[in-house]
Amino acid sequence: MVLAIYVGFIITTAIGEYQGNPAVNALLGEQAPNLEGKEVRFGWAQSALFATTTTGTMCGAVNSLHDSFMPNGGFVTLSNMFLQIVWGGQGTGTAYLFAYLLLAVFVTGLMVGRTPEFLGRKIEKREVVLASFLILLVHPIAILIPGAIALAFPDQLAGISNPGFHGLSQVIYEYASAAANNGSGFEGLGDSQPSPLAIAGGASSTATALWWNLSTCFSLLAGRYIPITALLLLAESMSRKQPVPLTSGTLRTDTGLFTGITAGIILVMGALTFFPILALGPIAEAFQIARGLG
Amino acid sequence: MQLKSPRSAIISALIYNALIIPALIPLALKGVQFRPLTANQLLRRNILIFGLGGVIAPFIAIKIIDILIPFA
Amino acid sequence: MLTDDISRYPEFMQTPQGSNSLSSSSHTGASRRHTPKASMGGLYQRAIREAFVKLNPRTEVKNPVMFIVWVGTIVTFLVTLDPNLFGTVQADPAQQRLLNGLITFILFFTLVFANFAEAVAEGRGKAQADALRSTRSDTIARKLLPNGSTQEISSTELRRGDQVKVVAGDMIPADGEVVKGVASVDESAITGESAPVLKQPGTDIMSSVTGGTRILSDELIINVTSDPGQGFIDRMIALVEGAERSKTPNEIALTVLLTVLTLVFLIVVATVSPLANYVQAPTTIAILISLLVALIPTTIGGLLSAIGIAGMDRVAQFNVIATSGRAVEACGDINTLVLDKTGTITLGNRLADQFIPVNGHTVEEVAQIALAASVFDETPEGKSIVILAEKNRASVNFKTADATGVEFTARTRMSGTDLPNGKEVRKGAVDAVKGFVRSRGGVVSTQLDEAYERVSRLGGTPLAVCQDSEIYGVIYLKDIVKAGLRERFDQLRRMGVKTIMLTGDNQITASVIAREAGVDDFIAEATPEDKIDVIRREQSEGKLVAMTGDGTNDAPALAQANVGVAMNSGTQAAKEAANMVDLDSDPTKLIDLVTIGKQLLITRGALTTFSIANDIAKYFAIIPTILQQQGLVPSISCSLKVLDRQSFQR
Repeated sequence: MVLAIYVGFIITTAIGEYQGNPAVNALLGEQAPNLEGKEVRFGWAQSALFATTTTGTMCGAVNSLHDSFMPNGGFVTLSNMFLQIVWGGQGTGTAYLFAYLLLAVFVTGLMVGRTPEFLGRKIEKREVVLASFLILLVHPIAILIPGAIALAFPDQLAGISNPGFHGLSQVIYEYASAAANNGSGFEGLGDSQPSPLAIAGGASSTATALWWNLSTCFSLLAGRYIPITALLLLAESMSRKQPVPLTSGTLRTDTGLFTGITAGIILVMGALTFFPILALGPIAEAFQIARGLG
Repeated sequence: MQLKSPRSAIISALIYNALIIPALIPLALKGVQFRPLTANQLLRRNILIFGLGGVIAPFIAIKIIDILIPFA
Repeated sequence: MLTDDISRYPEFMQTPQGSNSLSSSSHTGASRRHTPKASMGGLYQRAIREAFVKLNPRTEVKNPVMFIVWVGTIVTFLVTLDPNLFGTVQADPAQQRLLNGLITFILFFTLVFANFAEAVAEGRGKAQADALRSTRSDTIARKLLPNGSTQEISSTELRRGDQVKVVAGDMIPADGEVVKGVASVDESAITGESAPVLKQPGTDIMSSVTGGTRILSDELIINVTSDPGQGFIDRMIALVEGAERSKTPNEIALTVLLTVLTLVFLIVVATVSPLANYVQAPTTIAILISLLVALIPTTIGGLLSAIGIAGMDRVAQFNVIATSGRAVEACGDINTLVLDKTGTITLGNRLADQFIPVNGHTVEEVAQIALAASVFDETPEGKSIVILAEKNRASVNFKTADATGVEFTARTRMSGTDLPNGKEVRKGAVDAVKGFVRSRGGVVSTQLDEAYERVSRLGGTPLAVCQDSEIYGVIYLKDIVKAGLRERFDQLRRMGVKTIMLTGDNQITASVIAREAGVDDFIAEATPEDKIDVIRREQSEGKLVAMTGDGTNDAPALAQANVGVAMNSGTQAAKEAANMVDLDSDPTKLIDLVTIGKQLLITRGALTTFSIANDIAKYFAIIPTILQQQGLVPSISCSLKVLDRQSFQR
């Protein structure tokens, strides 16, 4: 299932890059892949693969500037970091997937007429609190709240290079990257601390840099340590439960059907949380470009 | 969804949201029909009815309400 | 409608009509005490009134999801009064006011509908409780005074510790224990068992009598064990009325999840505002609230408590008293059912299966005597003997009008007929018949004991037949497995529920019955201690166990089991230890309780899934409108067309 989402994401990005920017294409009079911000050595296809993988795995290395991707690329890289389960970096992806599985079991498990159990252990209030807190609440708090503050004061705080829908993507990407332990940048923000020389020379971006450093710190800490603590508590509480024997009345979690259900739960609980942001960011941008306004 | 207007879309979604509660009262009181099946058969059946049904039904219902309500 | 149909048919829970079929009892349609018909008149009017009363914020705050809707309604109401309350709106104020008013109106009804759902469920519970209350009918009781005389008073005036005297034909006025006398009691009103039951002091089940049953022979002195209004029915009334309802663990966990989801969407919607402002697509507060209400799981939030109350109500309709909602929920999780053989798996009354002749007599002769001895016997056992005898070509060769029936009494343990020609035919317990024959100067052969043993080995009950001093043979009374049980055990197996049969019978008999009934496992020659051992063993494997019981020695096992159902005919100790009491004393109901528990959980899960799945459609209906509002994106479909056209042009 994760592989399917991953492949789907790569294809989405690649199509976006391959078709190129219609505005640019119109100028060139031919269809060409979007190569802005990419190393020509890698080309559009490898860059798409790398961008999808690096955001999916919380790697953080980049071989092209995500800022310059077509909206499709922005959509995919953002989604990767919102969900945090497409491969997932260094163990956390699996952990998040487990938390989603737990919630899927909790909601749908009732439908087999038993109180839900996962890996032979009953899911009770404590587990639901930890799991839902972990994946449903922390991530939006870490991404959306600072993002909203930054965008409420775009001039004072954000320092966005491309205003409009794309700017929104820039800001949200920054926080998503921080909260999802990714570390890659969409770039295009005035977020770097200027060198002392530059300040001496009268550079004035200190205020935005300070805001970015502090707010991403918050996202980073919240996005990393709260879920890790919650996961450890969850594992601890699950391990102490007496296992329930498997019968034909037990919900099986190793079937294709259940995988599909989990995908549905991830879609509704995870993806829909961020859907308005994606709609206002990359999706709106895509329509904008499509209509030739960009 | 090609609804008539933004306003109509919001009103339709809300009307659906309100009406689905009384519509489901009989089901909540009587309970879902129970069949003595294995867990997986039960799950498949119920997911099909309530999961897939839950995705599709509101699309149809909201569209219908959108057509029915009088203003644009 | 809530019809508590008394006709029973052995089918697996025909839920939709609410005519809760119970299984498989020999009982057909006679009036039962506890089949109250709940009156539903005025239910909906009352529920509508309740729905508005529940708008009180102190009530609403208990349900976080609906409380958000409640707050949203207040806010939209305020912006209806003044659209510019939270920042200026560009749109035409009148138009805006209309829209806001409309949203307020719909939100208000969302709240009312949710309250209505809960009120209807509670109303049905109350109606059920009223019906239960009405079952406690008044009868005249003969209270025994200290001086030995009796005084006629109403049964409602009886107090715990009072002693009453009942004679043949009386209705027993209250639950109690027999302190003196031996009598047969017709308990068909509560057990569905038409054969009279022997009551005598000193034993467990035998000494316990239930109010509403009728004494058929002799007389009894009964010590009343419960005050009026203190019984289990009164506890149940409090429960179904919702007064004592507390949330079950699963309900709490689900509420937590729904609350977190609500919080998530609250954050999402709150942050949409600055984001939308940034991209020059500002939205109004009313629209944001609409989006929020559409996204939070209002459907399940509004129906959750109604589902729980309805679950309790359904148990009550089955004439089962549950002491907590937790017990009902646990029913769905049961892995193992521990069932007693007699009364649960087999019918209480046995049927004649075979005549075994002794002392050189033929089968026909035995049939002839057995028939003669049974012509006045109206019990199912007696009737089955007549049928079997007629199959063996026996016929009544005397005028029944001239003959006299000798009724079964607890002391003689025999019944029979005094024939017109002066001969006495008798049938009864082997020991009793032996005594009768000896008293008439006859001898008892070892053949009789052999036949007795043979029948015992088959799991049956032997009845000896004699005429005067001559023993003719033995009637083999067979245990009859209740109809349709096999299918139900198969269904239970498919659902992952294991059944274990407990019986005092020997190994051979037990295995025969176990195979016939289709139970998964059995324990023969079981003592009450075995019962608690098997429950502990299953529980140590992490399983949840349900059992039924009626005797005082069942009490520890009832307390140990996750779901313990005591029979109403059982002793007070058993009822105290159990977490459910079956008013009909029908142990087979345990199987129905499992399905009720599962059904409750399935309904909850199904509506949660439905509610969450609905979000997808609502998203697609509302999100584009936020973009459309400022004309930035005309509509998704429209944009797609533009996209198509452009790629086409290329």
